[in-house]
Amino acid sequence: MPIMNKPHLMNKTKYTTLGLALSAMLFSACSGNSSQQVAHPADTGTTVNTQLPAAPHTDTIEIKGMAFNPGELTISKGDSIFWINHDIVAHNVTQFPQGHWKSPLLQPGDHFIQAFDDSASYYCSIHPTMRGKFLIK
Amino acid sequence: MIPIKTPIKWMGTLALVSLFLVPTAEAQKTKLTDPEIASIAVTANQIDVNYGKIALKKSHNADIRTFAETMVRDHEGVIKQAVELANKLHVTPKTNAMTKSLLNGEKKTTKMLNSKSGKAFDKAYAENEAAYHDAVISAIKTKLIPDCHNAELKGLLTSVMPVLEHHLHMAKEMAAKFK
Ligand SMILES: [Cu+2]
Repeated sequence: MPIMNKPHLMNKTKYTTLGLALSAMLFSACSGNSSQQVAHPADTGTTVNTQLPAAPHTDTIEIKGMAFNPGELTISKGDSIFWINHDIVAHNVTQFPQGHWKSPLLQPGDHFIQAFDDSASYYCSIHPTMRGKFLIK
Repeated sequence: MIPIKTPIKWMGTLALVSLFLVPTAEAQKTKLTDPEIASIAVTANQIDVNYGKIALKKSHNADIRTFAETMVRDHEGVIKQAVELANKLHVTPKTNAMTKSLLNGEKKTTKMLNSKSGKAFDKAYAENEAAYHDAVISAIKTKLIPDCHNAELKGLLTSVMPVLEHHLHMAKEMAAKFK
């Protein structure tokens, strides 16, 4: 049986929002310019030098042929994952098994991006044999 | 994959459905054109959307309803992609013997499904879904893909296969529950 979304769990702030993930991407794109001082998105008001630890990274997982590819991935804490649906039917990305977080329905061509601090297993709740997982280094 | 014992009961349904889909020796020799393949693909998907809608109207079983919702969503999705591709390629779906045979099969199956209710309906729907997906998979594999000319259309048919295989797997599991 597919796991139902539990609304109260959606309040968890552990997972950054899409907006933050996007600004993190923008941030990492800018950090190549060494002469610039940039504001840390999670730490407003202060500025930091570009002598930073590894900037957040984004990995891509392709959804195709009723599978997540790669099915297993190792990322660093705070990295983002970008799922893109290149299949011919709609899918979703749902934390397995409790459904702590869930993407909207992804039509062919749609994508979903989220940053993570913890390892997780996930699946497509529409097609429960589709499974994937990622581990934090 | 969970191994499933050959569900003898839906083998009867399979034989019936196969009559409408497995091409005769004569049809096997005649190659299908791409417009004919487009017509068969759209019709085959639409029929399963229609079966799903019957199930959503008649069934109160949560598993059957979830499955039927997936069938409607997925097969409508495939139809949308097929129609978009056909438009792009200027291929106008052309009705043919196989389309007609599919529609004849649908008429009989619809009548059969509508004559049942409750658990008997759920069982008949699940068994028919298993048999129908099995028959469609073999028709695409043995006839539609080999006869297809356009590479993009062939690509679409190929990418439908894992979707159908997944549906077959789920349908078999569901049918086994009603034995
Ligand atoms: Cu899916």
